[in-house]
Amino acid sequence: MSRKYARPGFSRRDLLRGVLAASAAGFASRLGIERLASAATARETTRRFVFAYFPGGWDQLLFLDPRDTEANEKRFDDSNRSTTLTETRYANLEGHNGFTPRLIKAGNLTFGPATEKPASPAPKLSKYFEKIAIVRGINMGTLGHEVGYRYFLTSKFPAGNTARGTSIASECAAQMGSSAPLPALSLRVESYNDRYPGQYSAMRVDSIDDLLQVLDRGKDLLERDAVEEALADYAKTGTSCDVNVYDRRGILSRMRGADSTAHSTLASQLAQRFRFVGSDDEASQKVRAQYGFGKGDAGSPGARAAFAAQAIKQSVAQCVSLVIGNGTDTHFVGNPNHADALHPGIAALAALIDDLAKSDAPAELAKATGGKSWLDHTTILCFSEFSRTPLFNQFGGRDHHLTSSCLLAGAGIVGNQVVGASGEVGMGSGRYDFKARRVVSTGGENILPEHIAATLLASAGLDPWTLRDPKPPIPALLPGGG
Amino acid sequence: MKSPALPSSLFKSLLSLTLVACGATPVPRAKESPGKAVDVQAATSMPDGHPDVPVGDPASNNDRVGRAARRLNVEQLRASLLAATGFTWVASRRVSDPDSPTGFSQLPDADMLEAFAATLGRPDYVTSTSESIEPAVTFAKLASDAARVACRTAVKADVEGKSPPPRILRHAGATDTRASNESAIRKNLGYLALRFWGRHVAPEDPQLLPLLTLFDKASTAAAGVDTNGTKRVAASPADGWRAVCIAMATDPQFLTY
Repeated sequence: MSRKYARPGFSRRDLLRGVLAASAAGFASRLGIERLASAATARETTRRFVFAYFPGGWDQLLFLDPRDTEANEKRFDDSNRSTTLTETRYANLEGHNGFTPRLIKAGNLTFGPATEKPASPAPKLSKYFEKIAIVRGINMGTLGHEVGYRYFLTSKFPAGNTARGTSIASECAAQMGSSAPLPALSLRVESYNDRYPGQYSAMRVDSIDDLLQVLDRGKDLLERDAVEEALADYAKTGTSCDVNVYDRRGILSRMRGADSTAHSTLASQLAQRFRFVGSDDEASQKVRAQYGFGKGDAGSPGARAAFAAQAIKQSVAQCVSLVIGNGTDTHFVGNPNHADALHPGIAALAALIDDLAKSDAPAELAKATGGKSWLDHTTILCFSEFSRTPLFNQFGGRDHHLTSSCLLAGAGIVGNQVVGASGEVGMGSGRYDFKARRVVSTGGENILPEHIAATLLASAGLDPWTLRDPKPPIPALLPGGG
Repeated sequence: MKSPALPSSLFKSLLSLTLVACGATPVPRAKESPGKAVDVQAATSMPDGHPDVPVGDPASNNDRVGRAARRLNVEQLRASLLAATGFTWVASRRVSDPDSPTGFSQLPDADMLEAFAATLGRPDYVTSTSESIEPAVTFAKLASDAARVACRTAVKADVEGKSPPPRILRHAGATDTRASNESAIRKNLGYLALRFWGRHVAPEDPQLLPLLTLFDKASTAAAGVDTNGTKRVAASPADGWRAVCIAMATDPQFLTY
């Protein structure tokens, strides 16, 4: 290829990135969080991330942002709904499928009544309150499912329904320079990558069977060893210049990278570690009991959570995204049915946290950061695209509501605290003073998904200012305030 | 009223000249306006004496010319495999079946690309509404599986003469090896480059050397036992063409457009 085709050493994009980085650093300094701006110096490369998505929009009154109907002279009693514009109807849960109308309090956290079934022997989320932080009053800025979903995935507001930017999972994997067989693995969650090499795009699978199909190749499809080696050698052969000149966005080289990863993944025989849904061996039975699903029930939230745990614990993937919840887009049903839809995902999340907390991390990881369990090396983000209205509609259900909450747990997150708040009337998005680290009635700003993404990155010492629309992390959630 | 003969013939002549002039310019310029698609007609050939038309300016296009290449989606992959080999990925697959006592039944001839369409990027309009055509690891592995099945079936059909004319062994015989008839092997490789990639590659072009090497290795392998315990007899040219077919059908040149 002619020398005139050579890529210039410094492109306009590089220049823009430099200006953006300088601006972001200045912005951070003005906020008084200089240490966060230089967080990249303490970059962790061994951190694991789990992104657990509850599809459909959850009712936060039943989970992360409940109202205590007995407190403040029964301010949130349903009889005051005309002034609070909030109606809990918790009493409807009495005696329904093991739920009670009572809130679940643990440390500084309060969970809604769909979080746990008190008599159930399954792992309880509240048991791990010291590892959990809740962010409330997040302004999602949309009532559209796809928009809110993609906004949280990429921390960049979509253009129409179309996602922009890179999924935070891929962002984390790329910034860590993940060398895991699958840097990012996605079970039924969309994945985007608009600027990193192809190996950081999530391997997207629709079911555990699909993952097995990807991790394994049947004998009938294998050529003899010598031919497999020759095919692998051929795959590394470069394409001629007259083809490469049409490769405007580097897709040919990214395809070769993906092909190479597929070869190494097959060679590592990872499939054996994901046969817990249908196998009868002792380890598989133990996994099914731990996560509360039956043999063959691959589509249950428990099986999906177990899939995430296995991917983390077996070091198959470094960033795992999964649809952990069942659909909760319940416009026409009340609390009991919504709780039935919401709880299995929460129970699966509790089992996942319990599993990671009780599983020892490899010695080299423990030596690197001091954490003994897998939960000490894994950060979990739990989110939905938005929430449900605080008032019931004419059908006795709840519609879409702008203000939502999320849950962060595990490594790099200061637990046992609630950050932000929804409004006292109608649960609007609250204002939060990032510098004073408290909810304010005037001034401050809304907490947005951008803040959550920045916090996740900063929690592992990754650079939050590389995001397309960077916002500062939430200092209160970071050890030592960042 | 008498019609003016001269102006009429003059008009016809001018019209003919205009048509001839238009016909002598077979590459119309692309016209772009904001928000409208570009309408570019395919050119058959340049007129005699016409200077070369540059295909683009690499220096101002990130070292590249033309539009960016895109990965095939599921439907395009299936259609491309069918066009190139005559076969696609069909296999036996276990599926959920509420009417079965076990809850499952075995489909003997499932369209596997359809079965894995979501994993390969097709939107389901429930959890995803946009098509993913990223060159993911998942796609690389599953496209390779599809190529292996299609190539195995196609080469077998060609060797057995079941679906004439042959699609893979067009210019080489079933017993031709590199040692016995290298020119036929090279000619067939050039033909396959056109069939799979849409590129004219001359039989003597050095670009075919990696494929020639692959064919040679795969067609002359000795009998033995693989690491997974599978016993293999000594290889034949059919093994070589199968390997070449797999390599071509998993090459980014086949999987992009």
